[in-house]
Amino acid sequence: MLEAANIRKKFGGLVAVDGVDLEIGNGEIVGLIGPNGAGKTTLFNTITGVLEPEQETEITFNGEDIVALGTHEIARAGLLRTFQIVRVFGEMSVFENAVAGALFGTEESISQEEAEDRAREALAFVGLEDKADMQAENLPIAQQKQLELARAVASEPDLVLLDEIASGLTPGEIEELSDTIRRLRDELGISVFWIEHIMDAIMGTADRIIVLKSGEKIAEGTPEEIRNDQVVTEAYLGAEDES
Amino acid sequence: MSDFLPGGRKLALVGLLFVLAPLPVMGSGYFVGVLSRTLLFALFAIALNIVFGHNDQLFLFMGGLGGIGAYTTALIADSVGVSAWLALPVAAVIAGLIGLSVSWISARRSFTVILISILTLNLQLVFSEAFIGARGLTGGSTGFPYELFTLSGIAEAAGVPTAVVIYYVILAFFLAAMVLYIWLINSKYGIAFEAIREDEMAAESIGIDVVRYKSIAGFIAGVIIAIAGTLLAREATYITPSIFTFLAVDVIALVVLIVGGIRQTYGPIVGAVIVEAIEAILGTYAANWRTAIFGALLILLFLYFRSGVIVKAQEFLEDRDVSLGGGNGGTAAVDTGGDG
Repeated sequence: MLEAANIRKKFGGLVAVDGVDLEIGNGEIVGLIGPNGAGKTTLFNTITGVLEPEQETEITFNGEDIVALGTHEIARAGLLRTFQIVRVFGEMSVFENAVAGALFGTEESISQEEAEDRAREALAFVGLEDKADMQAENLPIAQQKQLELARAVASEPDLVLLDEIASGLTPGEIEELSDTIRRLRDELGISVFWIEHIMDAIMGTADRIIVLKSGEKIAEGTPEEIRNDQVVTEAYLGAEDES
Repeated sequence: MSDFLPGGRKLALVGLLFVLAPLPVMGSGYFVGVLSRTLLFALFAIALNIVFGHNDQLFLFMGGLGGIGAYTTALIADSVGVSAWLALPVAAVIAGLIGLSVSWISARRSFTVILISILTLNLQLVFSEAFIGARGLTGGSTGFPYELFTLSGIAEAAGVPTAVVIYYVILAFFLAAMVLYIWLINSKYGIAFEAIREDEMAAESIGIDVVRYKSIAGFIAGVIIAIAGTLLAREATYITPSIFTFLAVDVIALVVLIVGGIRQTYGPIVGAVIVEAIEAILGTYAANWRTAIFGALLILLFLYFRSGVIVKAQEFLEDRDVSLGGGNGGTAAVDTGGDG
């Protein structure tokens, strides 16, 4: 589904992402971890067209080359994302947020009624159907994060990139969220690429984990393999006082 | 009707009110002029509401675009020898394309609202100079009589002053612009505009082509402004560059929009009624202070009154448990009912 080779992104002299290869298959939940400043969000921004990668970067999504595409075109191709700091449309209602997601996130245009149906389904999926009429900025943060996910789901994407969606949530909320993410794949067939700092959440949910440090991929494997990986442990110990 | 146009009945009521408005003052060219100017500045403010209110693109060259509309209409009608009714759409599209280009460049380069306002204010100065300088086309600061659209014939046939016919033509364009606005804001465009205004990055991330929607807003605003500018010259029956300056158009339109309430459906017309009433009073008693007083008013409005009359009135009435079916909050109204 998503295949990328040699993703590179420099900011002036600083190489933020340095030659990362990755592949995310159909129905996979892939975790992306790494110490602060490892380049995780930059990697997401590069994949989604927010940042322009260096020349040698190759990214294809469902067989289509997406390197030169704009963010909105990539979204329409079925690759959606959420943000590290939640970005719902605060002055719109919860429902309007989801409708916006459904209306614009597909390549063929859909009717307002169709968009409203999809929005209702997406809100029900994350458990926000009772809050449909609330103004989005009045939701607690945990629910704003669910709304951001619902807004992405409403466009019926193939792959969603989640950027620290569990941060700031209580253990109970994290468990609920992990369950939602599993259902995302099992019930809706959406693949997930997920940046997370909260290890319990991601280790218990992901099929495979990719570890990034200083812009480079230093390990990849099942959660079990990653937990026991010497290089990863050192990377985290070295960065312990940052986090 | 309400399905196609939410709040269509309210607009019909407003329309009726303005259809009847000139009847008691038909004989007075002055009062008919005040009414015409009210609708014209409501028209400018509708354009500004779309491009600035809903899109955060502060167009400060409304005078310039209005002048482009008026001069181009006259030039095409004159040189090609066609009716001004055919020339006006062409002129409007030209102004629309100028608006579109400005929006497109600004969006591509991620200009902030401040940068767009500086860019367009510069263009305003350029257009103003050009209107004066291109003497061969515009008659320079002396101008020329502007009596297009063969309205005096209609007036004679109907037995009313030409100014009254001009008023009804302006009213027709005003109502058309209101219908367009209401439809736009309640459509897919309204949702896209609102998303972009709140968070461009999030809007892009869900598939909204920010550059495209901003350019569309710039085009629509340009078209409406050009029509308003042309009618402004026709209402004055004489065109000079001085009616298309920043102070004469942009400042007033901005005050109108803010007084009435930004992103309020009826903000432009409510604001225009209030501002033109103030103008009429100032014109009678303190003409020399007009500009200074409007400048001071603008500052006060931005400091203390940014939400506008309609919102303030609603808040006031809500405090007293009276409901007023006032303007639409600006975001697209979508139905949350139905099956789950």
